[in-house]
Order: sequence, then structure tokens, then C-alpha cells
Amino acid sequence: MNWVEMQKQYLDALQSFGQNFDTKPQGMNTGEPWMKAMEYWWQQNQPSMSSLNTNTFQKLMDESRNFYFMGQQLSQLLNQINASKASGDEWMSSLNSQIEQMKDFFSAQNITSTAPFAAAASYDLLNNPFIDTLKKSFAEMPTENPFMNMESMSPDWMNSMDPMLKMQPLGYSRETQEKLQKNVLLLKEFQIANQAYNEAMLNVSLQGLEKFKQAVIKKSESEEKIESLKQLYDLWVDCNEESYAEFTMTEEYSRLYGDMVNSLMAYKAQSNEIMEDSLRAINLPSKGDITALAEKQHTMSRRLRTAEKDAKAYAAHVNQLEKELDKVKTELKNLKAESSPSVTESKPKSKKKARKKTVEKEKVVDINSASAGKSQDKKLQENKSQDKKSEAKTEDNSKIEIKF
Amino acid sequence: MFPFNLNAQDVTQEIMDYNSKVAVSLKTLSEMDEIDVGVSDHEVVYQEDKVKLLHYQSRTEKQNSVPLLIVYALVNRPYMADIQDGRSLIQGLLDQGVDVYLIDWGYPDASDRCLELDDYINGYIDSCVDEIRTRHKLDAINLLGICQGGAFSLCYTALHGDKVRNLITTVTPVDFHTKDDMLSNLVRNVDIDTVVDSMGNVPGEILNWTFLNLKPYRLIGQKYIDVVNLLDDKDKALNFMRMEKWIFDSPDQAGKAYCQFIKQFYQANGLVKGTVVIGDHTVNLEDIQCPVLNIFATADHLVPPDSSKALEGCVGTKDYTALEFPGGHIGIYVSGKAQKMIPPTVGDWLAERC
Repeated sequence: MNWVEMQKQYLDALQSFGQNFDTKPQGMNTGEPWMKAMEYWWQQNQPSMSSLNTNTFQKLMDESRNFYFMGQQLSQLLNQINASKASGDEWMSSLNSQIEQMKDFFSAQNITSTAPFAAAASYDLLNNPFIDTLKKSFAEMPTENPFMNMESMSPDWMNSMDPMLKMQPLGYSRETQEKLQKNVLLLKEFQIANQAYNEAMLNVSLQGLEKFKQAVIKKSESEEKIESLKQLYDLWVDCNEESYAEFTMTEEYSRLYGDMVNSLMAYKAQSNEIMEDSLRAINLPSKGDITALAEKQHTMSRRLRTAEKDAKAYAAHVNQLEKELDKVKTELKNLKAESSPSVTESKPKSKKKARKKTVEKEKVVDINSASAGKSQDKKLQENKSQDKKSEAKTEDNSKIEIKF
Repeated sequence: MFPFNLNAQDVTQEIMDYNSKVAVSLKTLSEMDEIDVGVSDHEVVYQEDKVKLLHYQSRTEKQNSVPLLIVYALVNRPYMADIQDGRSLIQGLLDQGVDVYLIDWGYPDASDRCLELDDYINGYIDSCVDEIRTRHKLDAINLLGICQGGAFSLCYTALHGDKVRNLITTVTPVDFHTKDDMLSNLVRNVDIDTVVDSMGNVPGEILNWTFLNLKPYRLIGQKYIDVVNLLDDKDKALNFMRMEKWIFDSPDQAGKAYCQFIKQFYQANGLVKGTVVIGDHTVNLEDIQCPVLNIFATADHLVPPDSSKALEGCVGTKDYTALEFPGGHIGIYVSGKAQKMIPPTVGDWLAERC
């Protein structure tokens, strides 16, 4: 039984289980019916899974396409060899033919003359995340997605627009015209850089296939044979990884990748500028305005963080100083207590004298301030001088007070 | 001689077996519950903006007196270090009696686009270190950096050496211009200023695909052909899906910090040259005087071993230890081999120095 018949049997068996299969999957009679059947079955079950599981299974399905194709090629090769009863090294011409078919498959289409974006889309294995991001960023634009239009434009057509794009703008809207011209020119530069990058990546996979062919031939010279399709697939992966790693470590790759990303970002930056102008014209806040606010907010946050750290440091320092001060006070108190015990005994007498003097002062102050309205401080000073003259006058003072 | 030891019927049978496995895989995936990650109990002890400081619950009666702060990279989520029971670096460290803290950077958004490396290193990391020092009444703590987090830890230790008792770096890039550094070659000619000016924050999606495109045939293709052999077992399927969740769970990168990191580290190779400037200070790795344990993976395609090994010639400390792990960049955290090797080594090394 041949390959296509096996697949048709499989799909018929699958359809006999599915009550909801109203129509056959598209592409049933061309290419890979088995793969189409799997995809159809997968679409029926997809809604029941989480997004992570869905994405994982989708990747499994995507790579299975390569696996099935390889199985198809190997099966055809083995059938050809069996049919022709090839012996010795005659199988090599069949192998070469199959490898050329695989090269055509992975090339997908001729990318040197038609739309580079379509070429990038077909090169599924090495997905370019920058292009995806750019496409998404334009997806919600109110105007038509420029990438949808550009996919059908060839670089030759773009080149024919050069005179118009480089024409000097005139009139009231010359600045806008200049920006739009620059925008299209930047897009063209990106297309050229992207095309160069994709060509290089395609060459990598073609070189990988060549390595793969040599590796298979080498197996024929060794005792170790290829026992399964999976072994052949793993060999294909190893050869392509080797080819890819060799190229991506070169300066040429670094330059190509840099040119592609830089031209894309230049186009995006200039597109942002046009968008800013449009938003400003209708009095809406733009990305530039929000960025300015974010920068100001960030400056304030940094200042606040610095102030908080400084405050914490000062608080810790003050805390430390307070502890030291308490320590010093305690030491001073202890020193005073230790150094003079005699001063301690006479203290009560002097206290009594001091108390008496204070009372006398207060009485005199009261009398004098009531009669003459002099300030208390001044009275205290006068009383002090009176005290200094003679203690004997104490009784006289009291008599004065009594007399009064 | 003919290189194949099979016929067309064998190929057809193999495809049919493969289809059966795919059908079983679909069934397993469609019946799978929500995927849980992060197994060790923890609490959030400090928060600043989107950054959270997690403290893990101890699993031993006695812990090392000096706690360990894990500084993860910005480019992925930190639960990879605690992905599942029995395959958790954090669990392993807790079992060794290490008192573990971890910085969760969160998911930056548009309001974070102006964050610089200074904010991350002298801001958030310093605040977390101070918080731990205050909680434990210590002058210095231990630091463990993972990948880009290791580069941050090196910068932090060089600038705040008095606060770091011991430093551990794991799969940490130091020399960004080694011959086999594919990532470095990729960004060498990229005008990163224009990228960040155009995009603001760099989408996590772009980083995902950049990492996968270092080995595209294996990581985008072959992995999914091989996985059909696992998906008939629900436990194995769950383990696989946990890793898938982590791989594609990449936060956006704060624009300015990302720009500085690419320019100063990847393009200018500033860490080894001593030209990295964080805030107002230049980072000189010779200022690192504390003990250093440098762990790297021999089969690491993201951070080549030579890139990590370069640390030995840069630090000023005389107590430098290198540990070679026979595995890859992720395997060093999630493989069974790593669980037997890394946490006990780290635990013993710290115990000798605390």
C-alpha cells in the first residue's frame, strides 16, 4: 500500500468517528492528507484546552508537518530503491533527488523577486519576532495595515517609486509630505535589509540539508545504520543546528541581523513621529507626552527614595547620638557621685539657706513690684545685691516686710 | 553500502505509531488542570513598587545565622528556581538549613520604562538587603545571583561590599565577548537606543524568541516531536508543561535598564573592562573582597562557560571557588543531578564561612 492510500484510509477512519465532520478538510486531495486530517481533528478539540496547552499542541502540529514530510520523502526513496532494485551506489542518485525535493520544500518560494514579507511568513522555522511585533503594533491602527499592502509590493515596484519619493515637497503641507516620503523610503530600506537577512537564513537551511546528505552518505560507509525515521529526523536537526550555529557566530550574521533590526526600528520610530503629529493636531495626548510624564514621575520617585534613605540614615544617626548622650550623662552622674562626698553632707544647710533667701526674695519682689511696677528680673538683681551686702540685714528685711 | 536498515513499511508503521501518540497527547493536554508552579511556602516581607521580597519558610530546626538573598534575572520569572517538588533549588537550600529570601521583580509596565540599572541595583536590591539586615540585626548578608541577577549581584557587591558577607554567582556572564557567545554576537550591531526609543519597554515575547532562536531546530522543532513520548504520562506531561509555562512567561523589560544592560555589558563588555557605571559610580570587580563561589554549566549555550570563568581573574578576593556543573543553563536548577550537587555544595560552602 502506498503513502497516499495509507493517509486516505486514516482520514476515512477518523471521519467515521466524527459526527460533526460535515465537509472534508481543505487540501484533502493535494499534498499531505494525513497532516490535513490531523489539523482538522485538532481544530475540533482546540476550544476545550487552556491557551498554554493550545499553543504547545499547535507547535507540536507545526513540527509534525516537517516530520510527516520527511517520512514521505524517506518512504518514496525506499520505494524507488526497491522498485529499481538499485544496488551498490545507485541509491545515491535517488537520495540526491529526494534531497533536492526537500530543498524546494524548505525554500517555499523564490524570495529574491517577490514580497519579502510573504517570504518571511513562509519561513516558519526561524520566526522573526521583530516582524511579528511590528505587525501587531500596526494591527490596531485606524487606517489600513501598511504591511498588508506592502506584502504584494516587490522591491522592483518600490524602486520605480524612487523619483517620486525623493522629489522636493512643496506647499503648505511640505513638512508632512517630507515625513511621509521619508517613511516610505525607510520602509523600503527595511524591506531590503529583511530580504538580505531571509536569504542568508535560507542559505543556512540549504547548507544544513547538504550537510545532512553528506551525513547520510557517511552512514553508508560505517557500521552504524539508520534504523528509524526518528533517527533520520534527529540527524537532520543536528546538521541544521550545526550549520545555523556556524553562521550565527560570524560577523556577517551580526551585521545582517543588526541592519534588519535597525532599519525596522528606524521605520517604527519615524512612524511614531507621524502618529505624534496626527495626535497633536486633534489635541490628544501622544506617546511623547506620556513618556515626558513618566520621566518626571521617575525623577520624583528617585528623589523620594533618596530622601527616605537619607531620613532613615539621619534617624539612625540621631538615635545613635541619643544613646551616646545618655551614656555620657550616666557617666557624669556617676563621676559626680564618686568624686565629692563632703559636698553631699553640707548640702542640706546650704539648701535651707537657699530656701530662706528665695522666700525673702519672693516677698520683697512682690512688695516692690506692686508698688513701683518694676520688672521681676530687675528686682531679683536688686535683691541679690542686698543679699551680698550682709546676712544680718535679713531680720531687717523681714521687719520691713512686717512693717509694711 | 546502503545507509538505511529499514523499509517503506517500517516508515509507515512508525508514522502510525506517532499519530497514536499525538492523539494520546491531545487527550492528556485537554484533560490537564491549571498548571501550578512554586512549591515552597513563603511570605512577602517587603514590597517596593512592583518588587516583592519573599521569605521562604524554613524546613529545618536550625538555620544558618546569616540569611541568603537570591537575586534573579529580569528576563524570566523566578519560580524556575522553585518549579516543582523535588526539582527546586530553593527547597534544596532550605533543606541545607539556609534561610532563604528571594527578590521577585514583578511584571514591569509602561510606568516603569524609565527605570535604570541604578534603580534596580542601588535602589531595589539595596532596599531588600537593608530590610533583611534590619530583620536579622546583621551588618552583612549572603547573596546568590542567577544569570543576569548574578551580574547585578557582582555590581552590588562591588559598590556595597560592607553589606555582603559571601557572594555566590550561578551561570553568570562576566566576559560578554567570548568566542562562542551567540547572544553577544546577535546584539553586537543593534542600535539599542533606537529600539528602546521606538518600543519603550522591550516586549517579553521578543526575548522569548531570541532565546529560542539560539537553537531553533531543537527548541522550536525537535522538542515537540520528542514530547509525544512523554505526554501519555500525566505527571511527566505536567512537568513538561511547567517548563513550557516558565519559558513563555517572560516579563517586558524596562526600556532604559535594558538599554543600559545591552550597551554597557553586552556591547562594551564593561564588566571585565571596569567601565560599567551604575548611577554615579563605576563598578570595579576588584573591589569584591568577600568570599566568592562561582558556579557555571559546561553545556550552557546562553552563558558560555568561558564567560563565567572569567570572574576568577577579576575579583579582588583571595577566597574564590569555582564549581563546574555538567549540564545546561536551565538544567543547573531543575535537573535531578543538580538537586544532588548544587544545594549541598552551597550549604556547606556557606556554613564554613558564616
